[in-house]
Amino acid sequence: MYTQSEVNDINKQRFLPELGKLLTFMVEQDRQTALAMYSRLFDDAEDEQKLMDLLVSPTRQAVVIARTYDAKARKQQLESGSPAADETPAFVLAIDKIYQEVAPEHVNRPAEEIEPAALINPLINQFSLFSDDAHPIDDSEYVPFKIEADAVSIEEPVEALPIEPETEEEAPLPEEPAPEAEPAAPEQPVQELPAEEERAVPAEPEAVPVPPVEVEAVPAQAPEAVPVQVPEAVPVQAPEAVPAPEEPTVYAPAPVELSFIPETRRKPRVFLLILYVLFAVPLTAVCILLLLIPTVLALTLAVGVIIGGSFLFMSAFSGFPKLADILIVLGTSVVVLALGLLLLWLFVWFVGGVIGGLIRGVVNLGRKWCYKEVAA
Amino acid sequence: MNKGWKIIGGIVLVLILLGAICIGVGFMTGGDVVDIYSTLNIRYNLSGYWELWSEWAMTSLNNIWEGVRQLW
Repeated sequence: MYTQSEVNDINKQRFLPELGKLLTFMVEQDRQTALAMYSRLFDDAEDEQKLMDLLVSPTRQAVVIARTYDAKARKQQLESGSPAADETPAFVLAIDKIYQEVAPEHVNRPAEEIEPAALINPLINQFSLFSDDAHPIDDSEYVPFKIEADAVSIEEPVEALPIEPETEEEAPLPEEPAPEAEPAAPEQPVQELPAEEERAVPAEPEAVPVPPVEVEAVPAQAPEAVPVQVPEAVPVQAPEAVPAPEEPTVYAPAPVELSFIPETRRKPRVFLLILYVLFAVPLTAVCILLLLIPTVLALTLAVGVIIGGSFLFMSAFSGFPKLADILIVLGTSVVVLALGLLLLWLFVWFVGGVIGGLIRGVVNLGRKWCYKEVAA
Repeated sequence: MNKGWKIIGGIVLVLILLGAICIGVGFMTGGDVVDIYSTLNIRYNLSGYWELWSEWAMTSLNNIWEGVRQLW
């Protein structure tokens, strides 16, 4: 029997790769943002059935995003660095809406609880992830990704990424810095330490090591707005009343896998393919022959009507003494030429649209029925 | 193909409208169909072509009818 979390994981593993394929029309940065947000939906949703009812299918979600997303304009915004690029995109709001329905208790959760999945792209934090007017996030309480210096013992220095904040003022300073803390500690932009769990860490010699930061998941642009100062070692005297947990505290959940799209290849079902060719080729040939009748008829009529119209048009300028008669002949010739053009287009449509479409449809049906996708 | 239909449809509609206006103006300014027919008949021998086509059509229809009767 699966637990709710396991069911969510299974659905997530099926849903995200499919969605990843469908969102290739997006700018890569936005695509990763959307996938990270959907990943977080699965992680935080408590009612999996409600979530799946809301999502319906990856295709549905891709359509929802596509309706609100203009890839060309977005790419230009990002490349030009215009102020519009800093605004919250509509697709983020669309996913946010779903999030608020399936995990309303997470909407206003403290910044320390934000998972690394949300850190994959700085845009998520930039957009005040999953906040809205009804549940505004208080900026004064919003201290993103700050590691409480007095709450955890870190004996090994955290491996710092080569990322530095633009200004010193942007770095959030701890209210009561530990005296042992070194001011020039290495900075770590992506790290999550839930406050509840931090305080549960015992002050044992074997301090729980900080898990390595997923460097691959971090985009090239460093999230400048979330620099964190981490002291190298902050020994903490934990109260003795707190029992030592048996399992090591997990500071951060597993990073979101971003390589969603599995490589597959098409393998023919030989028997079905032979059977399909045996039936489809004669049937298609008969259909094409039947379609050739109206096609040739349209061409013949078009040629005849256009020739007649041309003669009528030329005769209008010779032999008619009255202007009124010339006008009538000219008008008639123009109408006849218009009908000839319509018949000519009908011929082109039969050849390119109907017959071509029939052949393409038969080939596509054969691909759908007689081939299966297998892992490469 | 849909775009093609729109373009061709637009052109055809414009041409038909233009032709209709020309015909209307021609009739309003004293145009006569009998005069036009007689002029074209003299130039292209329309009545001759019409008779030829009528004979061919009648003969073809009779042959088809006879063939159907024999098969029946």
